[in-house]
Amino acid sequence: MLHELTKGIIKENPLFVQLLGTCPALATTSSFANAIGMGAAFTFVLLGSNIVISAIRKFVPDQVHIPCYIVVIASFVTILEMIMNAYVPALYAALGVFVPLIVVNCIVLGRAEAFCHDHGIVDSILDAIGMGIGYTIALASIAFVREILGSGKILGFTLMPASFTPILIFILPAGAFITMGFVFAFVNHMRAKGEAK
Amino acid sequence: MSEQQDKTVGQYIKTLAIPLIIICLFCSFLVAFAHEGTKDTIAAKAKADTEAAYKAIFPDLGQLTQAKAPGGKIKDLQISKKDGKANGYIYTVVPNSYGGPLELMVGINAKDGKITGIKVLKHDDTPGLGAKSTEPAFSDQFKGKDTKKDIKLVKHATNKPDEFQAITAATITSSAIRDGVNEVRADYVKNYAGK
Repeated sequence: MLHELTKGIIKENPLFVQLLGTCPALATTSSFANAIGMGAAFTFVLLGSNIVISAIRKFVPDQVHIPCYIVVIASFVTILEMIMNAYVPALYAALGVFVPLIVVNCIVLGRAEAFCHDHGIVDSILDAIGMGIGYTIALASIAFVREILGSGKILGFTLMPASFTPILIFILPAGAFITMGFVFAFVNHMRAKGEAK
Repeated sequence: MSEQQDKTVGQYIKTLAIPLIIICLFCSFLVAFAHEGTKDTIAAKAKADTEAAYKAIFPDLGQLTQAKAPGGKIKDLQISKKDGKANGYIYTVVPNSYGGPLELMVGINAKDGKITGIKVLKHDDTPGLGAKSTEPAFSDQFKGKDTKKDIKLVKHATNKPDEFQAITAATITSSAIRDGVNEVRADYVKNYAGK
């Protein structure tokens, strides 16, 4: 059972391995704080939708299961928007359109289709937590590289020596692609090494 | 497919529509519940933000009374009063800008007719370019500008008191701010200056 929790972190990491949800991963990783915020927001929606979808899975007719899932996911995103607007407005403003876009985030619908469809509530909760942590770690690692190279700071603390000139391109969209490529290559190299052993 | 085609409309309603309706109703309740739980906090926060904005652009804030907005692009006018006398005017104006209207607040000191500050409340421009309009380095240029004449946008360092420097790579947003400030200025001169 623990496997359902841990598989999302490395073995089936939604971003590194399944290559899902790359659009928000490019857009929201310009700062470490935004990446953590996006990961947390995403985990909240995934947890809510996994619980409800696995609970109603026997009740939903096959022909209309996609609209049913989308309604559930959209509801949780709307709830999330209200909560973020009320309690963390700065983060809500920083993530902008990517919060409502969680509705069409392929990981959320992907987990509903691939997992909750034929698993119980407890397994689905563990799956959501694992995938959420995995996605957050993936976003945070890309954001860490981008922010430290692009501004020399992490969460407002200057980490690089004073002689370091920030490489602005890493904060700009092009830097997102470059960083993502290198991070993916590194992670998959490490995975391949691990499997060979 | 043939099996499905044999079904009557009634069966479709029973097997597909009803479960879908139930799920939609259930989700509506969830959303309504969350709305009830958060709306007061959101409203309170919006109110606090507006008050903080008033204070930021017009530090000598007195008792605020809402005046009738003169129309055009100006959508709100607050008159600040101290000891029963108006000491300042705070306009909210929405000029057209890049990617949609921009919301701008302008404060004017009643004593000398000078701008006390401006604040961009909402814009749809690109982060890192037009977003610079919200930074003090840009908005502080407007402090102390006279309202008697239109202000002008220039693309070099300013050398006249009625000029301000545009944001690099955000000319449309800069022009929108100029238009907004000038509309406010014109209204102030017409309706309130010297009264």
